[in-house]
Amino acid sequence: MRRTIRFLLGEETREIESSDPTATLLDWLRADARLTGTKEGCAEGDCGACTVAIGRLSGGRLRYEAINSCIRLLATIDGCHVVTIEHLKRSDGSLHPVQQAMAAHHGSQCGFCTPGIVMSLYALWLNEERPDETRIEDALAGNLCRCTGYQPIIAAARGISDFGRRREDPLIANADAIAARLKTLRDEETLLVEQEERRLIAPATVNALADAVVKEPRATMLAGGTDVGLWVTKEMRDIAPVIYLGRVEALKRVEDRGDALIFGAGANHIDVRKALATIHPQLDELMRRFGGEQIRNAGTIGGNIANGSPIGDLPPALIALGATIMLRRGAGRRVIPLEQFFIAYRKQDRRAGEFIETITVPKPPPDALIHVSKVSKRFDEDISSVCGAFLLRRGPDGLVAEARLAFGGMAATPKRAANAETILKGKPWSEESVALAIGCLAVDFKPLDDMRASARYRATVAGNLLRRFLMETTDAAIATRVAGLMRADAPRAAHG
Amino acid sequence: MSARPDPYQFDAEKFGVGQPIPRKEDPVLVRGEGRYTDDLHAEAQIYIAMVRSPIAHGRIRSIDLEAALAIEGVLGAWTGADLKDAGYGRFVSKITFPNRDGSPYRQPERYPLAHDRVRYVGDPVAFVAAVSANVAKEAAEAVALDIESLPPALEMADAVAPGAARLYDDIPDNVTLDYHHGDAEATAAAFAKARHVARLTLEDSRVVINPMELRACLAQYDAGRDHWTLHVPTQGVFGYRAQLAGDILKVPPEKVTILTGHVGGSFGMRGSVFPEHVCALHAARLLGLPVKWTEERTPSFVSDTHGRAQRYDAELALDEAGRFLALRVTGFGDMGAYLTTVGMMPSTRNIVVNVCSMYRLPQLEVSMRCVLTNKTPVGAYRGAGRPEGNYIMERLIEEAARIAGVDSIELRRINQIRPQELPYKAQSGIVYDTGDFTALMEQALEAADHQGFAQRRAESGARGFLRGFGVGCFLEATAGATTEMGGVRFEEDGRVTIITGTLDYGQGHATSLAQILSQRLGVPFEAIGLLQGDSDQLIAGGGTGGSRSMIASGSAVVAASDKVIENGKKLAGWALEVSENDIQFRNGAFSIVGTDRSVGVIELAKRVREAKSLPDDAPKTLDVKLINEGPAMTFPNGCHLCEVEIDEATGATQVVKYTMVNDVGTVINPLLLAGQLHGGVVQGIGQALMERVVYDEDGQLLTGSFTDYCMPRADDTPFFEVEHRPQPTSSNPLGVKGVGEAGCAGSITSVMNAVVDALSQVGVTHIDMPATPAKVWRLLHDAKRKAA
Ligand SMILES: Cc1cc2nc3c(=O)[nH]c(=O)nc-3n(C[C@H](O)[C@H](O)[C@H](O)COP(=O)(O)OP(=O)(O)OC[C@H]3O[C@@H](n4cnc5c(N)ncnc54)[C@H](O)[C@@H]3O)c2cc1C
Ligand code: FES
Ligand code: FES
Repeated sequence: MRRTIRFLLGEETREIESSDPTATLLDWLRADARLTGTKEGCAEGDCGACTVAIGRLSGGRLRYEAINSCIRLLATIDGCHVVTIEHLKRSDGSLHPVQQAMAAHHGSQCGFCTPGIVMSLYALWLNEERPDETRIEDALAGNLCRCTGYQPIIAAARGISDFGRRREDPLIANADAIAARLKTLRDEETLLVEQEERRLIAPATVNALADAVVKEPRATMLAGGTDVGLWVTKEMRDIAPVIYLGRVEALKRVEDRGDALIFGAGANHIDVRKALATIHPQLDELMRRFGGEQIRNAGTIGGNIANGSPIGDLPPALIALGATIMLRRGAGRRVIPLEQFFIAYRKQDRRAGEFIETITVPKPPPDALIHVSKVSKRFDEDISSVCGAFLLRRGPDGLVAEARLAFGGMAATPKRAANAETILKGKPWSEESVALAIGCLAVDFKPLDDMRASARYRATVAGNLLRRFLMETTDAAIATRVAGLMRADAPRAAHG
Repeated sequence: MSARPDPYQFDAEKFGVGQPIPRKEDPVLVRGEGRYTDDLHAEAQIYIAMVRSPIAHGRIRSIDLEAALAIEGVLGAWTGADLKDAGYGRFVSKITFPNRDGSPYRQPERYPLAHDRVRYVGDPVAFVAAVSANVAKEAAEAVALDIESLPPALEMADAVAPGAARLYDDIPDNVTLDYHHGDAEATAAAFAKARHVARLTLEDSRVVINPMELRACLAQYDAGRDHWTLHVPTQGVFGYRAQLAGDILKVPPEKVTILTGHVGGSFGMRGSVFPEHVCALHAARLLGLPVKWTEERTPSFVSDTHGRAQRYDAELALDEAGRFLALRVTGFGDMGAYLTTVGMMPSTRNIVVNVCSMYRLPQLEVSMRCVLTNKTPVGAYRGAGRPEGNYIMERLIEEAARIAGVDSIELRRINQIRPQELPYKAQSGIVYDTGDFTALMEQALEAADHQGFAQRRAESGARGFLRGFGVGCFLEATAGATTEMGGVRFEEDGRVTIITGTLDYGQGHATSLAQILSQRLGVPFEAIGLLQGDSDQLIAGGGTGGSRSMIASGSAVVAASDKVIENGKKLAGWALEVSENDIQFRNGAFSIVGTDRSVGVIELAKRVREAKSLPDDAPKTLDVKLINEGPAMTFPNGCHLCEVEIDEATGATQVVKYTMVNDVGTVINPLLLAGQLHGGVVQGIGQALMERVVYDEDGQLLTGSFTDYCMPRADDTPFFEVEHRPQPTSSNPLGVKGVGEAGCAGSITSVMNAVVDALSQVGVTHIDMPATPAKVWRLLHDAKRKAA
């Protein structure tokens, strides 16, 4: 058992004995480390003012990601490299290329959002030398700026490489040395952060994790913290004791088994997106619109499922694809279809001492028809009103042999439309059949009714999504991906 | 051997007025070295947290602090009654207009905290001080409120109706000011003989201002000196101190020091004292410790001030030739639950002076009622009535063109004031001095390829998009004359400090003012610094607001430079041992006419500083501190042209092309100018297309987070085509007209006109802000149904 949190902060190695196990990284940076360059603009992952870059070893490779430090717990950066705006400082006092680009393009006005924007762009640049417009917009989707109108920032993002070479950046040039230092911080010991009987336990192996969960069945499990972090910052809930899953490398694995994709529960949305994109482009778009870049970097597939929200984006898609999850308790494991995991509102089939270990997503056969839609009020950084994900197969007779119609936002849990599926079976994939299926939705669902969308709206949308599915799969000429289409010919590209 | 360039060599070409110099501020800000209020840390600082009303309207029965005080780490807790008893004064509106009937307007009573009634969700009623922010927060939650619920008055029209719930017992109809401007009879007569009358009911939607930096303060009290120090983001420390010391603390101003560091945006919001600041000061005095307060985002949605929130019935009368005869505006301004310092200005006088815009208008009548509602108080927001006035006019022009069956651009041409008609006295009583409005509009139409629009519309149509073209001409009247300090101080290290009372919160004053001083005095740009946020250093200061910073502080810097030169001639005469009449000033140096003997201005300052004795009749320093009388109001104007595409299937609107030509007078720094315009335009796009404040029927704010309140993000903003057509004004020595608010005035107008133009293809003639997808889709849908 190790009792100190160890990480790299810029060039220094930091070891922290006993600290509040649920302190956020942002609070620690600002209050304890007195690194006040990183700002708080919302403390709920929406504005990006708190963005820092986190370096971690992933499959032996050093990988940097922008994250929201406001909802990230300090204890969870054990073994990582924390890079804040202060660490872009160069010994000769000159500005970093990202900073030079921001100044040259007048990308800062009041400067409050600026550190977060610089760090978002820096993380982007570390991964891509010359990102295109779409990548830039995606990377900035999690950052708000009230002053600049963004155009100068986008121009700066495009022009970073005009001010310096990526391979000369210290994090790239010294990647091996940094990786070596991170390796020395890594161990198989379980990390215990404890203060006044409140603890956070962070095992490093799956087995240790399994033991820990059995021992502390009432502990809050913490993965990316993009849901749990808000319980701390917004709801002021005491989540201790906490079991942190993020140190377990094996849980982050994504594996292509040929017939199926196997996701460790701790795989983040960036990696999940890459893998799911190979199944269907609409899954790619779904994940592109999942939170902002910082949320996608931190949030995990397991967290999105285990959170049990009726409007989580992945469950409907995974249910439609026929995903199963493996739940583990101690050495015991059980596999259940994902839809069975969701019992009632925020009540899941997770027994005491269990955690989700892996998610298996069978690859659909080539003739399967697939559709995934996220309907929300805005394109990115928004919560779904309705999420619809469908998989349909026709038999040799051309009639529907299998239909899996999963919805989010339509009930207290992500849920399949059992009656609609049944009625479609054995029928032609046609307007008439879809009309019948839509009729069944009223029986299948009692949609949520809240300020984000009324029950009637949700019911209408759900039916229309089925119609859209039909149109898309029967007439290639009909473009129904309206949002995507619109953005594809966004005029800015023309202006280069 | 090549000489190293002298870093202090003056290069007016590179650093003078008109150059696109990257900002002095940037190296600090892009490094994250900006010091915003919450970044400050005072030894032994403690924290306060606010207790706010959970309901929109109610009578306070009791507030029980006991449970909060019992929490470990809590140092004190106070209610509104405590503060009132401690003798703090009231927040008062500074507007001076009378009611229509000549009687004074009604000033609702507001003490720092609510003590008898709560009037909006978020109304602060008590606060707790504790050793940490978290303990303070926890304790604030533990405060038990017993509030008897009263029915709320939420919508303006309902609030003025007979029988409506009253917010204040002494304000029977919830109206604080019944404002009227113009000649009702003459206006009615003009309408009577009109050939066409355009009529629109317009809503200027309420918005949450949301600067990215949350409100905060750090308060200290020195008992020995009986002196208060408050670190707080403001728009100018001088005016802030006057209000705090004079109205609230009731002490002489020298008893208070206001310090403002970096400010993370304001847009009008931080112009005056907020209740929480008083609470922090109170705790600092009672506990003898520095007290920190920082708001959090969720409460900020209700506890900051909101912007806009007006409604009008607007009418424009035209003769058979399309000439404007008269304009009449009748409506309401929503004040929210209390009057903010300038809260009544945007919906009254600022409508009058801006609605006339750049057009010949023989008659004008404006009747606006300032209405109290059980919602968050409304204050200034970027433009504060300027975008609104222009919005009314530009929407009416489009409507007039529609009913008269003429081209709206032609209608503008007919009515725009021509250069030869200047100076022109508008119906607001204000005299326009410069501007070439039609030429500016033509330039914009050319730049936007207006000719090619029909084809672009056809192309969009083929893809299932309704394309619209929107014109937004605007002319705004900036803040009127207020005195401003012009200070120039020569530092011992050879640097020069400008001291003035406007305050930068993103505009780049340190850069533009240095450009001005550099050009005037010939001192190197790099050597110039700006001191702005320290009330002890100021002898005057109107602060930032109403697009006045360059007009006021720029002019004050010019006046101070002139004084430096005037004094410098005397001192150079002494230094060079000749009569001051033989001294001339050029390129940063005082020289003896006809010789090469000279002394640089910085060198002279040093010699004066080090002199053992100076002649009796010579100034004792080259430093200058003066109060400059505020130059007159100016009239920045422009033409913004917006093209939108509306997705017929979803109702989603995207700005796909945006062109603007502006006349903001002399351009000091085109880079900063573009920045101000971009930011303003995007805030306008936010209001026009996405930002929506929703209260439920109990007065609870439903859109209280960035998830539910839609702020523009990177992918919402268009590429801008920006051109300038400066017509410098002669009303101030620089010829500047101000630009801070112009972007909003151009964008809400052009964007909304573009949306209506797009929708006109299916017969829609008006839509209110924000044109959200849902609202647009509904209109499209209804129009289609009607057509079918
Ligand atoms: C700004 C913002 C935007 C967002 N946008 C979206 C969006 O577009 N779509 C969407 O669906 N969600 C969104 N979310 C919600 C959130 O990001 C996702 O639900 C995310 O996938 C949660 O993953 P996590 O790893 O961060 O989970 P955590 O917050 O760490 O945990 C979530 C829950 O899962 C439990 N848990 C985690 N891992 C396991 C495991 N292996 N076994 C058992 N229980 C486990 C935790 O105990 C907790 O109950 C957003 C959140 C924010 C703050
Ligand atoms: S502070 Fe807003 S996302 Fe972290
Ligand atoms: S520069 Fe002010 S919020 Fe971005």
